[in-house]
Amino acid sequence: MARTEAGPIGAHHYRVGDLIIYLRELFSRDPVLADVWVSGEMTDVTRSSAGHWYFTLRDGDARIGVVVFRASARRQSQPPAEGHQALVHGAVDIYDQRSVYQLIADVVLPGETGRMRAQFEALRARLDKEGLFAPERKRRLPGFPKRVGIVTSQSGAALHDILRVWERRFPMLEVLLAPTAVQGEEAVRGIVMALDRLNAYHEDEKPLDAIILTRGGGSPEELATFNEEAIARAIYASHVPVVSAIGHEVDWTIADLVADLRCPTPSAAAEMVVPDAADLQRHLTSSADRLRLALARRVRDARSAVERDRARLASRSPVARLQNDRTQTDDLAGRADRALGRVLASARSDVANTGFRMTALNPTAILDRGYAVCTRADDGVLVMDPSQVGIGDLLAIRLARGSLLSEVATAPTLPPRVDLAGKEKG
Amino acid sequence: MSETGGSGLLSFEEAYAALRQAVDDLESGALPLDAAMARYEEGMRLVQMCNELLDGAELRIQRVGQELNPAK
Repeated sequence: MARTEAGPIGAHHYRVGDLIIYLRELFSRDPVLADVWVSGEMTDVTRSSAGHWYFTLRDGDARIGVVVFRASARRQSQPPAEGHQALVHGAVDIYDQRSVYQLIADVVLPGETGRMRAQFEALRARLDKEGLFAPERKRRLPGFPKRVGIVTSQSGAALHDILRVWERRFPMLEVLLAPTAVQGEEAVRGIVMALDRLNAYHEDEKPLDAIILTRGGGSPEELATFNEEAIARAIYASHVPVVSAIGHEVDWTIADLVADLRCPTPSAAAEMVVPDAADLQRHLTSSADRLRLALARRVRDARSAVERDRARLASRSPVARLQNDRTQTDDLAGRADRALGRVLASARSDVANTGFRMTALNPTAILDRGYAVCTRADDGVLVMDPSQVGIGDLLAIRLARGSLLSEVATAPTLPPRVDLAGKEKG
Repeated sequence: MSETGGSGLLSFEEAYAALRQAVDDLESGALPLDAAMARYEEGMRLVQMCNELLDGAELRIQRVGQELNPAK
Protein backbone atom coordinates (compact mmCIF):
# COMPACT_ATOMS: atom_id res chain seq x y z
CA MET A 1 0.00 0.00 0.00
CA ALA A 2 2.13 2.88 -1.34
CA ARG A 3 1.62 6.26 0.34
CA THR A 4 2.49 9.48 -1.41
CA GLU A 5 3.48 11.40 1.66
CA ALA A 6 4.18 10.29 5.17
CA GLY A 7 0.92 9.88 7.07
CA PRO A 8 0.62 11.00 10.68
CA ILE A 9 2.96 9.30 13.09
CA GLY A 10 0.94 6.11 13.71
CA ALA A 11 0.34 4.84 17.17
CA HIS A 12 3.16 2.45 16.47
CA HIS A 13 6.47 3.46 14.91
CA TYR A 14 9.36 0.99 14.61
CA ARG A 15 12.84 1.32 15.97
CA VAL A 16 15.37 0.10 13.37
CA GLY A 17 16.05 -3.07 15.36
CA ASP A 18 12.35 -3.88 15.57
CA LEU A 19 11.94 -3.28 11.83
CA ILE A 20 14.79 -5.73 11.04
CA ILE A 21 13.29 -8.32 13.36
CA TYR A 22 9.96 -7.87 11.60
CA LEU A 23 11.69 -8.32 8.17
CA ARG A 24 13.52 -11.47 9.29
CA GLU A 25 10.20 -12.85 10.50
CA LEU A 26 8.65 -12.00 7.11
CA PHE A 27 11.50 -13.74 5.18
CA SER A 28 11.39 -16.90 7.30
CA ARG A 29 7.63 -17.25 6.83
CA ASP A 30 7.71 -16.75 3.07
CA PRO A 31 7.37 -20.18 1.37
CA VAL A 32 9.62 -19.21 -1.57
CA LEU A 33 12.41 -17.49 0.35
CA ALA A 34 12.53 -20.28 2.96
CA ASP A 35 13.06 -23.04 0.33
CA VAL A 36 14.46 -21.78 -2.97
CA TRP A 37 16.64 -23.00 -5.88
CA VAL A 38 18.73 -20.20 -7.48
CA SER A 39 21.02 -20.53 -10.51
CA GLY A 40 23.82 -18.19 -11.54
CA GLU A 41 27.58 -17.78 -11.89
CA MET A 42 29.77 -18.23 -8.80
CA THR A 43 32.27 -15.35 -8.23
CA ASP A 44 34.40 -13.99 -5.30
CA VAL A 45 34.64 -17.57 -3.92
CA THR A 46 36.33 -17.66 -0.49
CA ARG A 47 36.67 -20.30 2.26
CA SER A 48 36.84 -19.27 5.93
CA SER A 49 39.32 -20.90 8.31
CA ALA A 50 36.34 -22.48 10.06
CA GLY A 51 35.45 -24.27 6.78
CA HIS A 52 32.49 -22.08 5.72
CA TRP A 53 32.21 -21.13 2.03
CA TYR A 54 31.31 -17.63 0.86
CA PHE A 55 30.66 -16.55 -2.77
CA THR A 56 28.49 -14.23 -4.81
CA LEU A 57 25.97 -15.74 -7.20
CA ARG A 58 25.64 -13.46 -10.21
CA ASP A 59 23.15 -13.28 -13.05
CA GLY A 60 24.33 -10.36 -15.21
CA ASP A 61 24.16 -7.37 -12.87
CA ALA A 62 21.93 -9.10 -10.35
CA ARG A 63 23.85 -10.65 -7.50
CA ILE A 64 23.24 -12.21 -4.10
CA GLY A 65 25.68 -13.22 -1.38
CA VAL A 66 25.79 -16.93 -0.57
CA VAL A 67 27.14 -18.65 2.55
CA VAL A 68 27.53 -22.40 2.87
CA PHE A 69 28.14 -23.24 6.50
CA ARG A 70 30.70 -25.89 7.31
CA ALA A 71 28.20 -28.71 7.97
CA SER A 72 26.58 -28.26 4.53
CA ALA A 73 29.91 -27.49 2.82
CA ARG A 74 31.30 -30.87 3.84
CA ARG A 75 28.33 -32.66 2.20
CA GLN A 76 28.81 -31.10 -1.27
CA SER A 77 30.33 -33.29 -3.99
CA GLN A 78 32.83 -30.54 -5.00
CA PRO A 79 33.80 -27.07 -3.74
CA PRO A 80 32.50 -23.99 -5.61
CA ALA A 81 34.73 -23.03 -8.57
CA GLU A 82 35.27 -19.37 -9.52
CA GLY A 83 33.32 -18.41 -12.64
CA HIS A 84 31.36 -21.71 -12.88
CA GLN A 85 27.63 -21.95 -13.33
CA ALA A 86 25.80 -23.45 -10.33
CA LEU A 87 22.37 -24.24 -9.04
CA VAL A 88 22.11 -23.44 -5.32
CA HIS A 89 19.40 -24.43 -2.87
CA GLY A 90 18.81 -22.68 0.45
CA ALA A 91 16.91 -20.01 2.37
CA VAL A 92 17.18 -16.23 2.17
CA ASP A 93 17.99 -14.67 5.50
CA ILE A 94 18.89 -11.15 6.82
CA TYR A 95 22.14 -10.23 8.55
CA ASP A 96 20.92 -9.05 11.87
CA GLN A 97 22.42 -5.60 12.16
CA ARG A 98 23.21 -4.28 8.71
CA SER A 99 19.85 -5.40 7.22
CA VAL A 100 21.73 -7.08 4.36
CA TYR A 101 20.07 -10.26 3.12
CA GLN A 102 21.95 -13.36 1.87
CA LEU A 103 21.27 -16.92 0.72
CA ILE A 104 22.16 -19.56 3.31
CA ALA A 105 22.78 -22.55 1.04
CA ASP A 106 22.72 -26.27 1.83
CA VAL A 107 23.14 -27.57 -1.77
CA VAL A 108 25.50 -26.28 -4.45
CA LEU A 109 25.24 -28.13 -7.76
CA PRO A 110 27.90 -27.11 -10.24
CA GLY A 111 27.29 -26.91 -14.01
CA GLU A 112 25.51 -29.65 -15.94
CA THR A 113 24.02 -31.46 -12.96
CA GLY A 114 22.72 -28.08 -11.82
CA ARG A 115 20.96 -27.55 -15.14
CA MET A 116 19.50 -31.06 -15.17
CA ARG A 117 18.40 -30.71 -11.56
CA ALA A 118 16.75 -27.42 -12.37
CA GLN A 119 14.86 -29.09 -15.21
CA PHE A 120 13.87 -31.98 -12.94
CA GLU A 121 12.58 -29.62 -10.28
CA ALA A 122 10.59 -27.65 -12.80
CA LEU A 123 8.91 -30.75 -14.32
CA ARG A 124 8.32 -32.25 -10.89
CA ALA A 125 6.58 -29.09 -9.69
CA ARG A 126 4.38 -28.99 -12.80
CA LEU A 127 3.34 -32.68 -12.70
CA ASP A 128 2.81 -32.46 -8.98
CA LYS A 129 0.41 -29.56 -9.43
CA GLU A 130 -1.39 -31.64 -12.11
CA GLY A 131 -1.89 -34.42 -9.54
CA LEU A 132 0.18 -37.17 -11.18
CA PHE A 133 1.88 -37.94 -7.85
CA ALA A 134 -1.31 -37.89 -5.79
CA PRO A 135 -1.01 -40.66 -3.16
CA GLU A 136 -4.75 -41.47 -3.24
CA ARG A 137 -4.54 -42.55 -6.90
CA LYS A 138 -1.83 -45.13 -6.12
CA ARG A 139 -3.33 -48.53 -6.76
CA ARG A 140 -2.76 -51.50 -4.46
CA LEU A 141 -1.14 -54.65 -5.84
CA PRO A 142 -3.28 -57.80 -5.72
CA GLY A 143 -2.13 -60.35 -3.15
CA PHE A 144 -2.16 -63.17 -5.67
CA PRO A 145 -0.98 -62.05 -9.11
CA LYS A 146 -1.57 -64.48 -11.97
CA ARG A 147 0.07 -62.48 -14.81
CA VAL A 148 2.71 -59.70 -14.53
CA GLY A 149 4.26 -57.57 -17.29
CA ILE A 150 7.85 -56.37 -17.35
CA VAL A 151 9.21 -53.37 -19.30
CA THR A 152 12.98 -53.60 -19.36
CA SER A 153 15.95 -54.37 -21.56
CA GLN A 154 16.03 -58.01 -22.64
CA SER A 155 19.77 -58.29 -21.94
CA GLY A 156 19.83 -56.27 -18.75
CA ALA A 157 20.69 -57.59 -15.28
CA ALA A 158 17.31 -56.36 -14.00
CA LEU A 159 15.33 -58.96 -15.99
CA HIS A 160 17.67 -61.73 -14.89
CA ASP A 161 17.38 -60.75 -11.20
CA ILE A 162 13.59 -60.58 -11.36
CA LEU A 163 13.10 -63.94 -13.08
CA ARG A 164 15.49 -65.65 -10.65
CA VAL A 165 13.42 -64.31 -7.70
CA TRP A 166 10.15 -65.48 -9.24
CA GLU A 167 11.40 -68.98 -10.08
CA ARG A 168 12.22 -69.45 -6.41
CA ARG A 169 9.40 -67.48 -4.86
CA PHE A 170 6.27 -67.92 -6.99
CA PRO A 171 6.76 -70.19 -10.02
CA MET A 172 3.02 -70.25 -10.81
CA LEU A 173 3.34 -66.76 -12.28
CA GLU A 174 2.80 -65.92 -15.96
CA VAL A 175 5.32 -63.32 -17.15
CA LEU A 176 4.72 -60.97 -20.10
CA LEU A 177 8.00 -59.42 -21.20
CA ALA A 178 7.84 -56.20 -23.25
CA PRO A 179 11.48 -55.73 -24.10
CA THR A 180 12.85 -52.22 -24.79
CA ALA A 181 16.01 -50.15 -24.63
CA VAL A 182 16.25 -48.39 -21.28
CA GLN A 183 18.88 -45.78 -22.21
CA GLY A 184 19.84 -43.79 -25.30
CA GLU A 185 17.61 -42.01 -27.85
CA GLU A 186 15.20 -44.90 -28.35
CA ALA A 187 14.69 -45.52 -24.64
CA VAL A 188 11.89 -43.03 -24.04
CA ARG A 189 9.88 -44.03 -27.10
CA GLY A 190 10.61 -47.72 -26.47
CA ILE A 191 9.41 -47.59 -22.87
CA VAL A 192 6.23 -45.70 -23.77
CA MET A 193 5.42 -48.21 -26.56
CA ALA A 194 6.19 -51.19 -24.27
CA LEU A 195 3.77 -49.84 -21.67
CA ASP A 196 1.16 -49.36 -24.39
CA ARG A 197 1.69 -52.93 -25.71
CA LEU A 198 1.18 -54.41 -22.28
CA ASN A 199 -1.92 -52.30 -21.66
CA ALA A 200 -3.28 -53.47 -25.04
CA TYR A 201 -2.63 -57.11 -24.03
CA HIS A 202 -4.37 -56.38 -20.72
CA GLU A 203 -7.42 -55.01 -22.51
CA ASP A 204 -7.64 -57.43 -25.44
CA GLU A 205 -6.22 -60.72 -24.24
CA LYS A 206 -5.71 -61.59 -20.61
CA PRO A 207 -5.79 -59.24 -17.62
CA LEU A 208 -2.44 -58.24 -16.08
CA ASP A 209 -2.09 -57.79 -12.33
CA ALA A 210 0.93 -55.45 -12.46
CA ILE A 211 3.67 -54.08 -14.71
CA ILE A 212 7.25 -53.69 -13.49
CA LEU A 213 9.18 -50.84 -15.17
CA THR A 214 12.81 -51.46 -14.35
CA ARG A 215 16.50 -51.19 -15.23
CA GLY A 216 19.77 -51.96 -13.49
CA GLY A 217 22.15 -49.40 -12.01
CA GLY A 218 23.50 -46.54 -14.17
CA SER A 219 24.97 -43.06 -14.18
CA PRO A 220 22.67 -40.12 -13.32
CA GLU A 221 22.68 -39.20 -17.02
CA GLU A 222 21.59 -42.75 -17.97
CA LEU A 223 18.86 -42.76 -15.33
CA ALA A 224 17.70 -39.31 -16.45
CA THR A 225 15.73 -41.09 -19.21
CA PHE A 226 13.17 -41.89 -16.51
CA ASN A 227 12.73 -38.18 -15.76
CA GLU A 228 11.12 -37.62 -19.17
CA GLU A 229 7.55 -36.36 -19.15
CA ALA A 230 6.38 -38.82 -21.87
CA ILE A 231 7.20 -41.80 -19.61
CA ALA A 232 5.49 -40.14 -16.69
CA ARG A 233 2.33 -39.70 -18.73
CA ALA A 234 2.45 -43.28 -20.07
CA ILE A 235 2.66 -44.62 -16.50
CA TYR A 236 -0.15 -42.31 -15.43
CA ALA A 237 -2.33 -43.55 -18.32
CA SER A 238 -1.70 -47.27 -17.62
CA HIS A 239 -4.76 -49.22 -16.51
CA VAL A 240 -2.46 -51.73 -14.88
CA PRO A 241 -0.69 -50.75 -11.63
CA VAL A 242 2.97 -49.89 -12.39
CA VAL A 243 5.85 -50.79 -10.08
CA SER A 244 9.07 -48.84 -10.76
CA ALA A 245 12.53 -50.15 -9.89
CA ILE A 246 15.07 -47.89 -11.60
CA GLY A 247 18.76 -48.35 -10.79
CA HIS A 248 19.83 -48.53 -7.14
CA GLU A 249 19.71 -44.79 -6.46
CA VAL A 250 18.42 -43.24 -3.30
CA ASP A 251 16.96 -40.33 -5.31
CA TRP A 252 13.59 -40.80 -6.99
CA THR A 253 13.10 -40.28 -10.73
CA ILE A 254 9.90 -38.72 -12.09
CA ALA A 255 8.82 -42.25 -13.14
CA ASP A 256 9.26 -43.41 -9.52
CA LEU A 257 7.06 -40.54 -8.32
CA VAL A 258 4.24 -41.39 -10.76
CA ALA A 259 4.42 -45.18 -10.33
CA ASP A 260 1.88 -46.90 -8.05
CA LEU A 261 4.77 -48.42 -6.08
CA ARG A 262 8.48 -47.58 -6.10
CA CYS A 263 11.09 -50.20 -5.14
CA PRO A 264 14.80 -49.51 -4.63
CA THR A 265 16.00 -52.45 -6.77
CA PRO A 266 14.62 -54.83 -9.46
CA SER A 267 14.75 -57.90 -7.16
CA ALA A 268 12.99 -55.91 -4.42
CA ALA A 269 10.23 -55.18 -6.94
CA ALA A 270 10.02 -58.88 -7.85
CA GLU A 271 9.57 -59.81 -4.17
CA MET A 272 7.02 -57.05 -3.53
CA VAL A 273 4.78 -58.15 -6.38
CA VAL A 274 4.34 -61.84 -5.50
CA PRO A 275 3.72 -63.78 -2.27
CA ASP A 276 6.49 -66.10 -1.17
CA ALA A 277 5.91 -69.77 -1.93
CA ALA A 278 7.69 -70.70 1.31
CA ASP A 279 5.16 -68.62 3.28
CA LEU A 280 2.38 -70.30 1.34
CA GLN A 281 3.86 -73.69 2.19
CA ARG A 282 3.92 -72.87 5.89
CA HIS A 283 0.41 -71.53 5.63
CA LEU A 284 -0.81 -74.74 3.97
CA THR A 285 0.59 -76.94 6.73
CA SER A 286 -0.91 -74.69 9.38
CA SER A 287 -4.26 -74.82 7.55
CA ALA A 288 -4.11 -78.64 7.59
CA ASP A 289 -3.40 -78.58 11.33
CA ARG A 290 -6.25 -76.14 11.94
CA LEU A 291 -8.59 -78.42 9.94
CA ARG A 292 -7.64 -81.46 12.03
CA LEU A 293 -7.95 -79.49 15.27
CA ALA A 294 -11.31 -77.99 14.33
CA LEU A 295 -12.71 -81.40 13.33
CA ALA A 296 -11.50 -83.00 16.57
CA ARG A 297 -13.13 -80.22 18.57
CA ARG A 298 -16.31 -80.56 16.54
CA VAL A 299 -16.44 -84.33 17.22
CA ARG A 300 -15.80 -83.78 20.90
CA ASP A 301 -18.59 -81.19 21.04
CA ALA A 302 -20.91 -83.67 19.31
CA ARG A 303 -19.99 -86.40 21.79
CA SER A 304 -20.61 -84.17 24.80
CA ALA A 305 -23.94 -83.11 23.30
CA VAL A 306 -24.90 -86.79 22.98
CA GLU A 307 -23.84 -87.33 26.56
CA ARG A 308 -25.99 -84.44 27.73
CA ASP A 309 -28.99 -85.76 25.82
CA ARG A 310 -28.40 -89.30 27.16
CA ALA A 311 -28.47 -88.00 30.72
CA ARG A 312 -31.61 -85.99 30.13
CA LEU A 313 -33.24 -88.98 28.42
CA ALA A 314 -32.27 -91.33 31.22
CA SER A 315 -33.97 -89.17 33.74
CA ARG A 316 -37.24 -89.44 31.80
CA SER A 317 -37.11 -93.16 30.94
CA PRO A 318 -39.85 -95.62 32.25
CA VAL A 319 -37.30 -97.21 34.54
CA ALA A 320 -36.61 -93.85 35.91
CA ARG A 321 -40.27 -93.16 36.27
CA LEU A 322 -40.69 -96.37 38.20
CA GLN A 323 -37.89 -95.42 40.45
CA ASN A 324 -39.54 -92.14 40.66
CA ASP A 325 -42.83 -93.66 41.67
CA ARG A 326 -41.12 -95.88 44.13
CA THR A 327 -39.46 -93.03 45.75
CA GLN A 328 -42.76 -91.27 45.79
CA THR A 329 -44.55 -94.22 47.38
CA ASP A 330 -41.79 -94.58 49.87
CA ASP A 331 -42.24 -90.99 50.48
CA LEU A 332 -45.98 -91.40 51.01
CA ALA A 333 -45.48 -94.43 53.22
CA GLY A 334 -43.07 -92.50 55.25
CA ARG A 335 -45.50 -89.69 55.60
CA ALA A 336 -48.31 -92.08 56.47
CA ASP A 337 -46.21 -93.67 59.18
CA ARG A 338 -45.31 -90.38 60.56
CA ALA A 339 -48.98 -89.29 60.51
CA LEU A 340 -50.04 -92.52 62.16
CA GLY A 341 -47.35 -92.15 64.69
CA ARG A 342 -48.54 -88.69 65.47
CA VAL A 343 -52.18 -89.88 65.78
CA LEU A 344 -51.21 -92.70 68.07
CA ALA A 345 -49.10 -90.45 70.12
CA SER A 346 -51.88 -87.96 70.59
CA ALA A 347 -54.35 -90.73 71.27
CA ARG A 348 -52.01 -92.15 73.81
CA SER A 349 -51.63 -88.86 75.45
CA ASP A 350 -55.44 -88.39 75.44
CA VAL A 351 -55.81 -91.72 77.06
CA ALA A 352 -53.24 -90.84 79.57
CA ASN A 353 -55.05 -87.59 80.27
CA THR A 354 -58.42 -89.21 80.66
CA GLY A 355 -56.77 -91.86 82.71
CA PHE A 356 -55.33 -89.20 84.85
CA ARG A 357 -58.67 -87.49 85.15
CA MET A 358 -60.36 -90.83 85.78
CA THR A 359 -58.06 -91.59 88.60
CA ALA A 360 -58.60 -88.11 89.86
CA LEU A 361 -62.38 -88.67 89.91
CA ASN A 362 -62.15 -92.22 91.11
CA PRO A 363 -63.93 -92.36 94.44
CA THR A 364 -61.53 -94.91 95.80
CA ALA A 365 -58.77 -92.48 95.09
CA ILE A 366 -60.62 -89.96 97.23
CA LEU A 367 -60.92 -92.57 99.97
CA ASP A 368 -57.24 -93.27 99.57
CA ARG A 369 -56.66 -89.65 100.56
CA GLY A 370 -58.48 -90.37 103.94
CA TYR A 371 -61.98 -89.25 103.04
CA ALA A 372 -64.98 -91.50 103.83
CA VAL A 373 -68.39 -91.90 102.15
CA CYS A 374 -71.43 -91.86 104.48
CA THR A 375 -74.74 -93.31 103.41
CA ARG A 376 -77.85 -93.98 105.38
CA ALA A 377 -77.72 -97.65 106.16
CA ASP A 378 -81.44 -98.06 105.62
CA ASP A 379 -81.84 -96.49 102.17
CA GLY A 380 -78.21 -96.00 101.06
CA VAL A 381 -78.81 -92.31 100.49
CA LEU A 382 -75.58 -90.28 100.52
CA VAL A 383 -75.50 -88.15 103.66
CA MET A 384 -74.27 -84.64 102.84
CA ASP A 385 -76.17 -82.72 105.47
CA PRO A 386 -76.66 -83.48 109.17
CA SER A 387 -80.31 -82.73 108.76
CA GLN A 388 -80.62 -85.89 106.67
CA VAL A 389 -80.23 -87.99 109.81
CA GLY A 390 -81.44 -88.12 113.35
CA ILE A 391 -79.87 -89.28 116.49
CA GLY A 392 -79.73 -93.07 116.63
CA ASP A 393 -79.89 -93.46 112.86
CA LEU A 394 -77.46 -96.01 111.38
CA LEU A 395 -74.83 -94.89 108.91
CA ALA A 396 -72.77 -97.02 106.52
CA ILE A 397 -69.31 -95.42 106.39
CA ARG A 398 -67.17 -96.52 103.46
CA LEU A 399 -63.47 -96.22 104.05
CA ALA A 400 -60.52 -96.74 101.62
CA ARG A 401 -60.12 -100.27 102.73
CA GLY A 402 -63.58 -101.50 103.97
CA SER A 403 -66.64 -99.92 105.67
CA LEU A 404 -68.14 -99.36 109.08
CA LEU A 405 -71.67 -99.35 110.52
CA SER A 406 -72.08 -96.44 112.98
CA GLU A 407 -74.89 -94.75 114.97
CA VAL A 408 -75.51 -90.98 115.05
CA ALA A 409 -74.84 -89.76 118.57
CA THR A 410 -75.33 -85.98 118.30
CA ALA A 411 -76.51 -83.61 115.64
CA PRO A 412 -74.02 -80.71 115.57
CA THR A 413 -75.28 -77.51 113.96
CA LEU A 414 -73.41 -76.24 110.86
CA PRO A 415 -72.31 -72.64 110.71
CA PRO A 416 -74.72 -70.74 108.34
CA ARG A 417 -73.41 -70.63 104.73
CA VAL A 418 -72.62 -67.02 103.80
CA ASP A 419 -72.01 -65.52 100.38
CA LEU A 420 -69.07 -63.34 99.40
CA ALA A 421 -70.63 -60.23 100.86
CA GLY A 422 -71.03 -61.94 104.14
CA LYS A 423 -74.83 -62.12 103.77
CA GLU A 424 -76.38 -65.41 104.92
CA LYS A 425 -77.41 -67.58 102.01
CA GLY A 426 -80.64 -69.66 102.22
CA MET B 1 -9.11 -62.56 -11.61
CA SER B 2 -11.55 -65.41 -11.28
CA GLU B 3 -10.69 -67.01 -14.61
CA THR B 4 -9.34 -70.49 -13.97
CA GLY B 5 -5.81 -71.04 -15.25
CA GLY B 6 -4.79 -73.54 -17.97
CA SER B 7 -6.64 -76.84 -17.91
CA GLY B 8 -9.87 -75.69 -16.18
CA LEU B 9 -8.46 -76.86 -12.88
CA LEU B 10 -8.78 -74.49 -9.95
CA SER B 11 -6.08 -71.88 -10.07
CA PHE B 12 -3.79 -71.79 -7.07
CA GLU B 13 -5.51 -68.61 -5.91
CA GLU B 14 -8.98 -70.15 -6.09
CA ALA B 15 -7.89 -73.38 -4.38
CA TYR B 16 -6.16 -71.36 -1.68
CA ALA B 17 -9.24 -69.18 -1.10
CA ALA B 18 -11.50 -72.26 -0.97
CA LEU B 19 -9.14 -73.82 1.58
CA ARG B 20 -9.28 -70.73 3.82
CA GLN B 21 -13.09 -70.82 3.58
CA ALA B 22 -13.13 -74.50 4.60
CA VAL B 23 -10.98 -73.73 7.64
CA ASP B 24 -13.25 -70.83 8.65
CA ASP B 25 -16.42 -72.95 8.26
CA LEU B 26 -15.01 -75.81 10.30
CA GLU B 27 -13.66 -73.49 13.00
CA SER B 28 -17.06 -71.81 13.30
CA GLY B 29 -18.17 -75.03 15.02
CA ALA B 30 -21.70 -74.51 13.72
CA LEU B 31 -21.66 -77.31 11.14
CA PRO B 32 -23.62 -80.49 11.78
CA LEU B 33 -21.28 -83.41 12.31
CA ASP B 34 -21.53 -85.03 8.88
CA ALA B 35 -21.13 -81.66 7.15
CA ALA B 36 -18.07 -81.05 9.31
CA MET B 37 -16.60 -84.36 8.22
CA ALA B 38 -17.25 -83.52 4.55
CA ARG B 39 -15.76 -80.01 4.96
CA TYR B 40 -12.68 -81.55 6.59
CA GLU B 41 -12.07 -84.00 3.74
CA GLU B 42 -12.59 -81.27 1.18
CA GLY B 43 -10.15 -79.02 3.04
CA MET B 44 -7.49 -81.70 3.10
CA ARG B 45 -7.99 -82.30 -0.62
CA LEU B 46 -7.50 -78.57 -1.24
CA VAL B 47 -4.29 -78.61 0.81
CA GLN B 48 -3.10 -81.46 -1.38
CA MET B 49 -4.01 -79.61 -4.57
CA CYS B 50 -2.31 -76.39 -3.47
CA ASN B 51 0.84 -78.31 -2.63
CA GLU B 52 0.86 -79.93 -6.04
CA LEU B 53 0.34 -76.56 -7.73
CA LEU B 54 3.20 -75.12 -5.72
CA ASP B 55 5.58 -77.95 -6.42
CA GLY B 56 4.73 -78.50 -10.06
CA ALA B 57 4.62 -74.88 -11.18
CA GLU B 58 6.96 -73.64 -13.91
CA LEU B 59 7.51 -69.95 -14.57
CA ARG B 60 5.92 -69.26 -17.96
CA ILE B 61 7.47 -66.38 -19.86
CA GLN B 62 5.95 -64.90 -22.98
CA ARG B 63 7.21 -62.00 -25.04
CA VAL B 64 4.96 -59.20 -26.13
CA GLY B 65 6.35 -57.38 -29.18
CA GLN B 66 9.99 -56.90 -30.22
CA GLU B 67 12.67 -54.75 -28.66
CA LEU B 68 12.87 -51.58 -30.75
CA ASN B 69 15.93 -51.85 -33.03
CA PRO B 70 17.46 -48.53 -33.91
CA ALA B 71 17.14 -49.25 -37.67
CA LYS B 72 13.38 -49.10 -37.68
